[in-house]
Amino acid sequence: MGRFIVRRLALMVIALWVVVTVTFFLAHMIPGGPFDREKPVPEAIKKNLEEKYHLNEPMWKQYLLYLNDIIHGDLGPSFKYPDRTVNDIIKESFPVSAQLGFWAVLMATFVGISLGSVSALHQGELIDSFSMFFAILFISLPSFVIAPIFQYIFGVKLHWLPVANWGSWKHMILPALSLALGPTAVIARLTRASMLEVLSNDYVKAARARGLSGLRVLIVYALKNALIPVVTYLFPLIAAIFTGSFVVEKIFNIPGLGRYYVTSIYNRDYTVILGVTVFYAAFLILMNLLADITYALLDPRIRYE
Amino acid sequence: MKKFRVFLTLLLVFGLIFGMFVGCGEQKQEQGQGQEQGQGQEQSEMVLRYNLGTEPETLDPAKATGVPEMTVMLHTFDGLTRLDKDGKPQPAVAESWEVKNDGKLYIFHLRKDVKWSDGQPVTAHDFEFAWKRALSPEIASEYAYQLYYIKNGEKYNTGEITDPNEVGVKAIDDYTLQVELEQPAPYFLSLVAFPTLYPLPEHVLKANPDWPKGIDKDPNLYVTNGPFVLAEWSHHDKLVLKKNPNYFDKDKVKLDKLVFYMVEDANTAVQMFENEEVDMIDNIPTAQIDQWKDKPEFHIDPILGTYYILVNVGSDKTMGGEKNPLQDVRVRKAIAMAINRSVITDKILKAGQQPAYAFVPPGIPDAEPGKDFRQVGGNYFSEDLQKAKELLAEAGYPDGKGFPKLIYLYNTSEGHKKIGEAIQSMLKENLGIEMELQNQEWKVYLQSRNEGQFDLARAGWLGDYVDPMTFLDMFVSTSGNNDTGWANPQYDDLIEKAKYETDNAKRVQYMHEAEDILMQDMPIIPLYFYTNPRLVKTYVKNYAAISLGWVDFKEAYIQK
Amino acid sequence: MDIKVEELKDKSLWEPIPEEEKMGAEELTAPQVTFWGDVWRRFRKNRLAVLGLVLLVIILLFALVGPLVSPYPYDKQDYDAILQAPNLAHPFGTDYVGRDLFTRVMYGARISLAVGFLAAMVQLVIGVLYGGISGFMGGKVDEIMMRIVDIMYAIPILLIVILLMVVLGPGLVNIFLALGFFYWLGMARIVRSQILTLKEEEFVLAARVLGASTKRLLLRHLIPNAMGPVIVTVTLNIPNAIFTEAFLSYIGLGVSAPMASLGSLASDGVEYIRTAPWLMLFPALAIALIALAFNFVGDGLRDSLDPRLRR
Repeated sequence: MGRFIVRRLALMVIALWVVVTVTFFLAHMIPGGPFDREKPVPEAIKKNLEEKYHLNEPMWKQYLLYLNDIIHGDLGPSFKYPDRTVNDIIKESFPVSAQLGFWAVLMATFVGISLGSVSALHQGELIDSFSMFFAILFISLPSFVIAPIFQYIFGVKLHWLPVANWGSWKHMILPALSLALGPTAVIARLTRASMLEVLSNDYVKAARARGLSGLRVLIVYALKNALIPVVTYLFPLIAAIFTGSFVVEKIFNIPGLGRYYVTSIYNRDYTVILGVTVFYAAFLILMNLLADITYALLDPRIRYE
Repeated sequence: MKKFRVFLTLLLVFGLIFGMFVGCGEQKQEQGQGQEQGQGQEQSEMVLRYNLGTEPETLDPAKATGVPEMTVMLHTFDGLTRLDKDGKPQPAVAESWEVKNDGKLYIFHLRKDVKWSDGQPVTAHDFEFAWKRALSPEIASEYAYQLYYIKNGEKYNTGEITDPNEVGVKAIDDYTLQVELEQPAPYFLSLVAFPTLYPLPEHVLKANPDWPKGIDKDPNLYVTNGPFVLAEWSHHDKLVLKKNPNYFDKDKVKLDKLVFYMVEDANTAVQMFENEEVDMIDNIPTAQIDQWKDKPEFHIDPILGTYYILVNVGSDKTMGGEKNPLQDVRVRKAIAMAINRSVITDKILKAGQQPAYAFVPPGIPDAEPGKDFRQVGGNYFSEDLQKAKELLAEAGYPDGKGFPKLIYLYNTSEGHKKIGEAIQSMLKENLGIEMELQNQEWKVYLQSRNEGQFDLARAGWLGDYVDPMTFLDMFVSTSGNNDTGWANPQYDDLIEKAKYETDNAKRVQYMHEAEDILMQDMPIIPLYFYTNPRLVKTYVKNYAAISLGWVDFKEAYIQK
Repeated sequence: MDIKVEELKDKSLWEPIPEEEKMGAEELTAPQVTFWGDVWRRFRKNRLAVLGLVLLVIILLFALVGPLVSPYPYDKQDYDAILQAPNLAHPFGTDYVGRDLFTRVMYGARISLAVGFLAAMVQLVIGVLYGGISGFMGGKVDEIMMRIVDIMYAIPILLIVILLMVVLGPGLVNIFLALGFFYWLGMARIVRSQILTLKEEEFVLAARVLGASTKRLLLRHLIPNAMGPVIVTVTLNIPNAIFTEAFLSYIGLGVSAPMASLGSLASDGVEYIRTAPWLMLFPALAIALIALAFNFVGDGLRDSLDPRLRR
């Protein structure tokens, strides 16, 4: 296992390098730059800006300059927010997204797995159909539809919770809920489907035949193997949710990392684009490594040569 | 099983660590949060909460370019003059001035009681320092061109001159500032109210060359001279300003605190307003306007802006490769006359916008006091379907037969899409002209416009200062803003003359004549004049809505 | 009775059956069934699955035939009928320029069905195969293939989409390209994880021992057994695909206004949720119905494919 992990980490560095390179060139290939405005700046000023940010150098040189910086851990200054560095931006906004993400994932995992398992155990009964309809409903209503509805009901109408912004536990509830609904539905359905498979396995039938109770059978035998597809979905989801959802953060005005993904591209803020992308990539690859380790823990037959 | 237990414990530990995360995060925020729950709660502090709408890019006056930045700085700084609610410059740091040499020399006499928020006096040296800094190539200020009016300003900025002492701004003594201009600029007194021309605390910047980096961590570093000072800046969240005890005019300032939120989602902003979480918002989503129209909270504040269609006159071929019919002025006029503007303004946008039959919006004074430039200029055409059809037929396309398909370009936005759809439908119904809507992401759209990759394109222009010139000099043939490809030497000539003319009446006359030409040739088709609809709680009083899009809370107060 | 093997080899102990009896003895007692024939038979028996299929057909008809029958074109603006609630003339109401929502939903369904179908195909074909091969091969091949997936996941899709928009311009085909590019990634991972565990099962070992080729192992044994989560993922991703297409159209890659898809209709309608809720309600309902139909069909398909549920 140790060698396996070391190998994976080495591969991760290579993968990150590929991500940086591809993203760098893609970002510079699309038309428009960080200083294009509706009121175009005079040539002279544009020249000053380009010199300051090395935008007038040949592409490969800019790339190498950037690589050099990134290896030293310096992600550069933001083009759009000249008084802030990308490192600062990530340092300040990631914990916010991560906090929010943590609760959303916790909610989704527990509710999802429980709901899915119960549905599988009572296949075809009322609770199964009920949970399936809800799952479909939540999947068909994306976060940008659900969020305003929540804001209206719990904020404007009931005055229980603030409509937006960040700062207390009250501010976390609606956005976490909005984030969690979709994944809850997916996890529930995935758990149910793979649980059904596992429950029809011979060894489970045998356990039941031996007289073991449903719950015990569930937890000790069925759950472990049934969880594999859930794990596959869950770990990358953690990477995605922890680095923030653009939609939820925008609607609830949460100072998280998620907004930067979209707005940095919109602004052609090259350093931020690359910084958040690399950050997300590293997180994602790490999560996938954890997922693979989890598979091995859940199903001891799985081997990684 | 053992491995599983290990895994579970790891998960639990992970969970605990995050739990602490959550706990700590909350603590930090809780302290900051408690203070701005509402207005007049604890210690009867007067707090006004406004939605800025987006995160300011920077709070460095030399580098700021947009309305959010300028709005914040308007409250933290005072320039030589300050605009009043009609957009007219009033004395601020400068208590008086002299204009000499036919408008090419200004001598400002500064008040002696203006202080920086750290107690140091504001002197003429601070102005000289700040202006030269804004012009320096290293700062690479995007708005440096506003200082090009100053002698050698442009040359210094482009590097033609390297000695800043040759730039025409000089502190004669601590309280006298002398400014030499390249050419007379009748609105120079308005210009000095602009952030780019604010003074900067030389002593602070010398000690902190990276200023204003770090003011989010240490707000006291942001030393300013205006009615308010920076108390807190939480990025993409909110910005808090508090009353400046060292402000020379502090008796006029009634608010103790200003909270600027940065909520970008318009719908969320409205919900916040309904839920008493904010006192004033701009930018009401069109879907909600009907609900608010008759309520006392609904204000339509003036703003100088025109929404228009850019016509590509410069290309011989359309985007589809056929002969470009838009090069014929009759076609352009036909299109202009066939669009039913009141449907757009009254049924789709609904925020009190006015259909436009000229380019320069109302709200700009004419030569005679009390008269408005637009009023004097009048309308240049009217919607006349019959006439439009005739013109189109004359141009060789009766009922739109043989008319090539046109591409209408717009940048991603709900509003622009709706307007585009309406125009598309009107042109098809009324003239038989086919138009294809092409939606492009903002920067791609800007590039396409710049490169003439369109037939028709949606465009909007907001005035930089209160004078027709900010609208008219856009279409000079050498202007970078002129994406139409239209060039008229008479027009260029008139604009040039207006720029150098010192007699205001003559100047305004030149501008009217220029607009006449613009509207006769119609390389742009005006649609409507902007408005700035706002929702303002009834207890918010005396705010100044400046027609350049800003709002000034210096003398505002809350009356419950 | 003690029978020794050598004795059985004695040909004199064996007597051939007379001709007449031979024919009958080789008759199968049950009718012959092909694999897919069996799947269809089982599917037919599942009531919910059939309901789902019927629903899909109805939606398809609605989308294909509806627009031909509707009295309103999808882009006709009527300024006197702006934002009307559902009524006799407009069963789904009208939108912000007076267009009939019912017609637009029908047109929108066409596009969304196509998008949903494409997304499903992309996942099923590319995703399943890629993940299957990766999981089956294991070792270094698997690691590299999965890293490629990781890399593609991490690269900002928006960049690629903008690039496509610039290079190719708007159009439905371009959405298909954009979706096809990254929509199979999640599925690949799911299938791979399933295969990792399945390939250790005894039936695989048995098949191997019997000499099954890699292709046969994958296609006949492993993948059909992994179908459970696969089908769930595909059906759950249909609304996701529809909204992704709405987002792509919103930023300019995809269908141009005034053409709309269900996703873009629903997105446009969100703004009117308090003043004209029908604008969002009906498109969202349509999306939910499509998802439901796919879900029933998917569940039914999975049950029919599962060898252990064979009856």
